[in-house]
Amino acid sequence: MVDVFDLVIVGAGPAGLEAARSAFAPGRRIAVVDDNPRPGGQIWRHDPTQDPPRAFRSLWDHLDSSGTRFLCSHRLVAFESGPTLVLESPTGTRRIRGERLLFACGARELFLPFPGWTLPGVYGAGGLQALAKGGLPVAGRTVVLAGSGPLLLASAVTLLRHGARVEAIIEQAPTGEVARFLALLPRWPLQTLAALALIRRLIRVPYWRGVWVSGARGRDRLCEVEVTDGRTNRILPCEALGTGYGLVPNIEAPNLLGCKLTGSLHPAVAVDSQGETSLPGIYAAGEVTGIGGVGRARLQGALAGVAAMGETQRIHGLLGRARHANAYVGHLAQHFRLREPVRRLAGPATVVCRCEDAALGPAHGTSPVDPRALRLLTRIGMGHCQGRICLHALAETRPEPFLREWLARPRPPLFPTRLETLAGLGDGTNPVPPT
Amino acid sequence: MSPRSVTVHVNGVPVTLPEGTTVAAAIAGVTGHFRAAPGGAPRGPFCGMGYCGECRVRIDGVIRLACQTPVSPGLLVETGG
Repeated sequence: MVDVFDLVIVGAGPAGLEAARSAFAPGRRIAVVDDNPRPGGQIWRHDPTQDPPRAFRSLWDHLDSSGTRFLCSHRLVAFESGPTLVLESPTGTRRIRGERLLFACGARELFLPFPGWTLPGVYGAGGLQALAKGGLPVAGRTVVLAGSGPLLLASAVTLLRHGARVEAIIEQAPTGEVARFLALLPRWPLQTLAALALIRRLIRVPYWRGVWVSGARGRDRLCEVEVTDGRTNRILPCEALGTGYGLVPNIEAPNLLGCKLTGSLHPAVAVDSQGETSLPGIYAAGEVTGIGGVGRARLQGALAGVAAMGETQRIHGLLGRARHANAYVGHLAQHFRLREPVRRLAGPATVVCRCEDAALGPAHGTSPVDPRALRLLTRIGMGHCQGRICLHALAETRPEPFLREWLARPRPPLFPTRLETLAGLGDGTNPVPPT
Repeated sequence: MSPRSVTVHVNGVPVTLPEGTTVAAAIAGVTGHFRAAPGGAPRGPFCGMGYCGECRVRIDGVIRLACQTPVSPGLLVETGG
């Protein structure tokens, strides 16, 4: 049985929730799907020890009483013709279809492998933030955050709030770039206020620029990290490391459906000014269309929500603001762009594919632009995460066609699924032919 | 308002923590070793958002992601597989 809605939104973060609010009208059937147990996405992730963020609360107050159907703990695993969405939950499989479909499936962290990054105690930077919100004990623990971009600061604030001792924030971008990022930030007032709120809470935390973590050490658990500027190294003892080099869009689902992608290194879903993808009736909003933060995601969500419902008279007020917010994508990418050494921290013996425990060394023997050969010969990208981590890391050191080749032939399921879900899938082919 | 407490069992050890927290948090109170990598090395949660798979454990007999599973009374969690 397939439940049919006027609009199905994939992702209950800022973009998805704004889209649900803007698309709402009495009698309209709207569903929001998310694989987390509660709505909020990453940035508004539920934290039982804190009051929910104000922006989330006001959206949620509206949506909670709107009749919008929330399917949390439901993960999109495949499409069937329609397109019908095949969702897996802890208790079974269900199918839903929307007259309109909107992808607001966000982004994930870019991880760059380095010796020791598989030790327990090494987390993603946003990952550690998410885990702490979920109750992972960090109180009294010594934590280092390393990588690049504003997420390191946001993660530090959450960890301090949970009682961690944040030893240092290690930013690979040099001081000059960080200064230029801040100097032009006032063009985006909301982002400026958010940055000031973070900085105010981090006055006592050292923020080192132009340095990176080149190794993590410990027996069965992390006990220290090596920090370098490329010339001199120093050792920082710590119990947890949160590391992430910015974000990459979660394009897997729209890509499987056949939506066109844009951008070179880590592609995003291509949308027009109203959020429609290359496939008619299929929209995308937020980080999946480019990394630009919560303010842009909310605007895009609101815009795509009304556009999907065909309410063109409500679009115009939003278009200009959305365009301005889009410019922030380039600003962020330019000043936190990755330096060459951090892309090449892994040695031949360093595991690059965490799932399959596959080291970088054997990958050097394969064609740099043939992901299929890489997978067959080394098992890199064959595991649970389906290459979401390692192939994006490898793309940083390979010619551009590498990732494009990989993304050109997507296959279901989108995530590891139960056998009964697989057995129940249609013919397993892509239901929407590429246009 | 403080959340209610929930007790789960991690490798036979009872762990009590607030409602709304995750199985990953419950396990971390007992062990850092969530699963074994193919080469045998211990692994713990990493991405925190449900895609890396490093936190997958057996919960009431079914392999699930600890970071995306909220605690609920009486859950039986086994790690190290």
